[in-house]
Amino acid sequence: MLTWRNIQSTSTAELSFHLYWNAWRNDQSTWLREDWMRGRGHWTGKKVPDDAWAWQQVDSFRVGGDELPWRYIAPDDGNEDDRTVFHVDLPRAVSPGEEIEVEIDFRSKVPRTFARVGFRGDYVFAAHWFPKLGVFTDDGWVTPQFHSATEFFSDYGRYDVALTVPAGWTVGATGRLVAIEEQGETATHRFEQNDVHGFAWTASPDFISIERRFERPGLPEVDVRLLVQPDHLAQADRLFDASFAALESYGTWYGPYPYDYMTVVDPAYGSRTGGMEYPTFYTCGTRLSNPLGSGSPEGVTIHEAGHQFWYGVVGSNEFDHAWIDEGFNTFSTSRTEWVHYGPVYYSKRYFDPPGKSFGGFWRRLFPGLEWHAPTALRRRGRLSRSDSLTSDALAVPTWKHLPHEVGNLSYSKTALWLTTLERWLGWEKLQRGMSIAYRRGAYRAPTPEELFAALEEGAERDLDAFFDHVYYRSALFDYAVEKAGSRSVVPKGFIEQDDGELGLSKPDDDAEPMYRTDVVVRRHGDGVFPVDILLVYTDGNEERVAWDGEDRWHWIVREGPAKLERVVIDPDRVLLLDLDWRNNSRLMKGDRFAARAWAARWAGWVQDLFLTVGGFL
Amino acid sequence: MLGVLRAAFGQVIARPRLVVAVYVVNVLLAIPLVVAMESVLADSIGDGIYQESVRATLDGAWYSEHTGRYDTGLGSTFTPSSVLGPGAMLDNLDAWLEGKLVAVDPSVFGMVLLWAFAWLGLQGAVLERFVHGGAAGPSSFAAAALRHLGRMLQAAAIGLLAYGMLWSLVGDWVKGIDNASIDVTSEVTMLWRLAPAFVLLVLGFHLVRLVIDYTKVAAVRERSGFVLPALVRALSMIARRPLLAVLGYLVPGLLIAAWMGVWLLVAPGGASSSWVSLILTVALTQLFIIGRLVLRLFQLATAVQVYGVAADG
Repeated sequence: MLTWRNIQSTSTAELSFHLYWNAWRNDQSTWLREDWMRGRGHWTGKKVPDDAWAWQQVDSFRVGGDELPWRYIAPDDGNEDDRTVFHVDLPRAVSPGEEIEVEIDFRSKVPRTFARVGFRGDYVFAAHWFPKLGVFTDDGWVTPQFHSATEFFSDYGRYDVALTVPAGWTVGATGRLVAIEEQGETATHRFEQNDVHGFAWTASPDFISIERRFERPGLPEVDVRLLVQPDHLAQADRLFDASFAALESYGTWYGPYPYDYMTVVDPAYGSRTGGMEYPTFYTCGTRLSNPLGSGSPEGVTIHEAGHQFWYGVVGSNEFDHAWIDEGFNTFSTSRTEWVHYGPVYYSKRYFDPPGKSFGGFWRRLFPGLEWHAPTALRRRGRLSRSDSLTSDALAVPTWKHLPHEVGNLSYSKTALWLTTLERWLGWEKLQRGMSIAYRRGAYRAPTPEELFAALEEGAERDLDAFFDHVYYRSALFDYAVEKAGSRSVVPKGFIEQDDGELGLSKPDDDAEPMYRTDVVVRRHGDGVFPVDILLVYTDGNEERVAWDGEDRWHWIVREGPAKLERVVIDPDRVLLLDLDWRNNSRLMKGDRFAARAWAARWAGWVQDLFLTVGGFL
Repeated sequence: MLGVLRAAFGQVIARPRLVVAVYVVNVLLAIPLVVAMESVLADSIGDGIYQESVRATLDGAWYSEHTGRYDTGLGSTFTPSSVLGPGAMLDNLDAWLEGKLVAVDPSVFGMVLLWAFAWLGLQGAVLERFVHGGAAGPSSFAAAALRHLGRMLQAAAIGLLAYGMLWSLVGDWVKGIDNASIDVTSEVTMLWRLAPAFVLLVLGFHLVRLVIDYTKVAAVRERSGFVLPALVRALSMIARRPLLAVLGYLVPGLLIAAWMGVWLLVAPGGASSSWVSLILTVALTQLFIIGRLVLRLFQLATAVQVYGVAADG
């Protein structure tokens, strides 16, 4: 039963629904066609088991007791085989403010996991499992087809759901569990929640349910329920800590978590349902071996808990603007990780058998490489080794992005430009802007322009040029030192002598040496950003030169008693979108020690490789 | 058995030049790659302040750019785990376990192949010295290496065939386990299901190597042109004295495992910011490499002793 109220200012005589699970009905769906292009290839290289496919079928659609016909549509690509959207013509228009009641009989076949939804053994994770109403706007219905690289968009509402499962099973879902009724071999679990834009649930006989209360001064209390796999019971504290870290940081920075309940799910092994957010309900995911400091499971747990703010409270049209919730949240995840846990270290998983990758059963930490979480440095690497930045501008609707670049653009690029803003404007101003965005965007999906306005309000300055570069265009940033050096100011060659005649210059041995320093810097990319240029001299003196970064090159000339020792563009590493920091600086007297040292260390790997290969001979 | 081990150990200790020879070849073949890597790293680090930050630590900012710049080729083999702590050993063991040693990056493949031939020759020469004694000069060592290269190649080919079958068998088995575990929801359960495959792989590998080691000894002892008769004699010896044969292989093998275990605990994990710390780190690494080589030679010497005891009564 669905009650829909028209909250727009125009009438509509139609309704539009998603049937997300039909994306996995067969391989002709738009989702699976795009998934191939994305290179992810669900079930690639494997025979798809018959029970892996899924479907959703509407058996009856009634309004006021009258059966209404419905039809599939494919508004995005016209794929006649896609069955992820259906459309119903109503007998009469629904006016602004008016409500309509709809009765829908439907059946859904649960898939083996596609897109973090499905079953494995007796573990079930179900999201978007019912005909999901699209979003009616003043421009009409927004009900895109289900795309492989993008997620969802729906209105806020109230959910009252009863789930009947085998008795003894544990059920988790969006909202608060209000009742369990046993009926012999089955039990019905009833959940309720207001002001959410979806309802997901999970069930398993294996879950261990643990409840704790989040309590921090100045923030509302939240009852947090963890459904943890028996294998991972020893990590329950870490999962709670990470969830609480997100509630505390996001709540303090942006605004409190408004719901009083939250459920954290540690998904079943191999289910591929981890790391996904749903309203008041999310999956984290861990493994038996996950040493502290590796960033797992803390990172994913904070990220998904953080989505309760950027996705849950502040909604977004993830079809068009996936970068809003993913980017804002990725930035905030890194910051929260840093504040609560400090650096994240490089780690690697080992111990996989031949024939199949299980992701390595043993994780080894390498504290010799610190990732400096708040700068999201790993994401710079990902961006620089992909073509993302020359791919689509963020302003292009996400579902139209080259599918395999969506992650880099939505997560990495947005997180990096937000970190750039933080370093440029200062955290206080960015935090103020993001909290304004959070407050104004609550329980709806703000547009990018509204978010930019909030950030500008927090920054107390015009940021149009910045957003033009990072959002409306695919601007590339790359500042570089072209030439740098110092030489004596005493001229060489002919100069005018005291008697007015030309003569060869002679060094004045008694005079204090003076040097002319020349530094030429360049802007290789089309992106423009103001940068500082740090000049350090051999006598220890330093000078910062501010450059607006607009011209294609800039020449700095200085005179002084010391030679230039180094020049560094953007010494504080403000511009994280600068793709090549290697060319940002120049040492006048460099050496190859670092290269030699690490090459010598790497020799151990080669020699060990020889011995390991030798083991077969 | 103790006498066998003592004698084998004495053979290795009495011939330090064998260890030096094997180690020098190992180093010499690594040097061209190290020089090339130094050049790659110098380019990747550039002439700016990365020279300082990468000197002090494995700078994450630099490494993230390095991976973007060198996602293939020699530069891509420079990973944090290849240079920090016991990562090099773990990376190679992992590649061994997964059967991915054959997929080593093309940029290093040539030198690995050269090493493979060199190692086969070295084994022949070493076994010659252990079995027949004789002149200890470099020329006689090289001559022995060349003389036995054909035999060693044949033995290696038989071994590689067996290893290939073993990895293929285990790989198929693991795929089967995975397909049959489509509804397993516990990682512990999955590990238990896979455990027999791990055990079979490790046992199978060492069983093949045990046989091949004794085959090489037999081939060098009898100087037979073809290795198949040596293989038959080795199998026959193992069948007659299984406990001695296994212990003769196992004890040095366990010592190698223990040596690797020690390295797991003590391998230096940080940067080398000065020449002194670099020299210390490299010296420790070389000590580990030399230790492995010595223990492997000890294993071969034990095989010689065991074979001698079994064959000569």
